Amino acid sequence: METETDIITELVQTHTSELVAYAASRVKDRQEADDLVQNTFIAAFKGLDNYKGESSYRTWLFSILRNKITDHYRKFYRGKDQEISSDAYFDKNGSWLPDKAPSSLGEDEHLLDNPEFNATLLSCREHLPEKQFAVLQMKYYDQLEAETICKELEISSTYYWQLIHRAKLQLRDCLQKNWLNE
Amino acid sequence: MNKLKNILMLSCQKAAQLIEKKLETSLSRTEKMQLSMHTKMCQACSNYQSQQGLIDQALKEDCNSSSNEAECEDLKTSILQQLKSEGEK
Repeated sequence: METETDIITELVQTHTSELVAYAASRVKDRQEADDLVQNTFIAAFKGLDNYKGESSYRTWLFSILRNKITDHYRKFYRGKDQEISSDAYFDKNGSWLPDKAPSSLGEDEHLLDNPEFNATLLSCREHLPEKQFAVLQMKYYDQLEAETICKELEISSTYYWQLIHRAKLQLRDCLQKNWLNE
Repeated sequence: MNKLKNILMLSCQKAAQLIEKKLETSLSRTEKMQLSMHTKMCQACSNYQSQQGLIDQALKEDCNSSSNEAECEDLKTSILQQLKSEGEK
């Protein structure tokens, strides 16, 4: 008969890489992502008795991991001041600051097919502050609704939109600096 | 007249917010008109609008981040060791 250790060993062998890929899409720090996956397996091992078999092991592991990630972020957002200004981009009249004004990126319909452009965009995304990175990934990678994201992270919708808006201002600015000057 | 002026005079900061809103949900008729008048007169915001559309599309398409298999092997070993010590507790 399969022991619990056999089962969990098998799960680690089979699912680690996809769990890590998922965690790394949510958490910028790779070590943190690895830790979250490790804690997921420890929780799974301890909770194996409670696993009812209603979902596949894979689904079960992902739901544990998602809870771990959410806990990680809640701690992160809690207590931090929930005000983000876009002052770094605009003057007091709300006009673009001279070095932040969007100039043409030489965009055409094929820009998205250009691997270098996409690589630049991804590298810019890596440079976002963690809080902005997280909401951006939940929105685009997990394709969650704004309402769901706010609920999960326990943040207000105003704050959520500020984070998204700020993230996209920064992404665009980073593209302008790094794409055109290459 | 002042009211009309207020409607017409959209700052770039406000325009950028409307562009975000447009990508997410939709704009009211007044907002649509405000934004379209603003982007006709303001090249920077017009650039901003088309580039944000592009970024939005690029982020939607990039849904697969890959992880390094070799690194995963090390992690698997470390997790199994960790589980072993948990099991002995």
